[in-house]
Amino acid sequence: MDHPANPPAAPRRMQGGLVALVLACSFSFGAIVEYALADDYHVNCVGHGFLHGASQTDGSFFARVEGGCGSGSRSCDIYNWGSYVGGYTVGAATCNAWSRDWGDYLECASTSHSTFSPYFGNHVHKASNWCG
Amino acid sequence: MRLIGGRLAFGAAIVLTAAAGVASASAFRAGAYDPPAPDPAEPLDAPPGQLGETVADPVGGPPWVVRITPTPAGKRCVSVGRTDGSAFGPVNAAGDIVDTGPSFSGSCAEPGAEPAQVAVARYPHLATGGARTVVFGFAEGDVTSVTVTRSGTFEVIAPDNYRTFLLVQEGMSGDDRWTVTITLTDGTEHSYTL
Repeated sequence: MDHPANPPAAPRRMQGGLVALVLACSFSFGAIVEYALADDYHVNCVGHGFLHGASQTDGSFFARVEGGCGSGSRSCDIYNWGSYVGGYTVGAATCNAWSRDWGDYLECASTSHSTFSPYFGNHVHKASNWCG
Repeated sequence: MRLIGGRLAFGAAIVLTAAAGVASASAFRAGAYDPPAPDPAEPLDAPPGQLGETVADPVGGPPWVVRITPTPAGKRCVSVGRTDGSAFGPVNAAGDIVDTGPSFSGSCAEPGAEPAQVAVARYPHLATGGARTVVFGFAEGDVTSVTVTRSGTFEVIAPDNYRTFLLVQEGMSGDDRWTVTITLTDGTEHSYTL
């Protein structure tokens, strides 16, 4: 008969597997959260998203969808504290909305909304120093 | 005591692996794609740009104008704003133009790649009140007219002496899309849906 202090080998192996699973989940969670929250600019056929420019705190930033990858129209819009500030829709060109063309906005509370049909629908890119 | 120590170690291991996940994702993102050195580049590096002919605002205040700015990489940026003839930018609550200085913004493309560089700018909350939608662009030399259509109504605009064109409307266009049809000297037409 097994003594409680010496559990059978199979449950001990299961416990080890469970620990490995928990640690793997924890690693993935960290990676997913980092990717989701800090994804200010990425490529889906064309580069697009939020560009800070020279400084992350000077209120000068861009919502941008680069040109190329076909001739469809593309939109780049700026939001601040969740409210719509303004933006452009352009033909076959780079769409480049500069915050200063609308006014002075807190950079870290701003987002870029990008659309380039049929490659990607409207989605949000936050400032990399997000504070909203 | 040994049990508590084991649980603490396990908790610390979870936190450390989550941190490792954050660090790995961060490193992957940095290596995966660096946004290009802005081209169009930083606004302060831009030359002054060429202003087109002005168009009155439907309600009042400074008129609107298209600005054409060449980039160092040989592209052409076409943007829109308010002007008094020299300053260019948005209008503040006092009705004065906030001069943004030179910039590369709006629509940027290789000159001549299309018969026209067309764009729509949206201003949902002007500082002086109200909203505006502005259809604007630059037409190459063989363009004779620009027809702007939305919701069954249309307006024909001739490019000005600087080859810019501009239509300012009150309000926002909502979900309606604009169609800009460019007519060339040989009668052919090119349409852009924005």
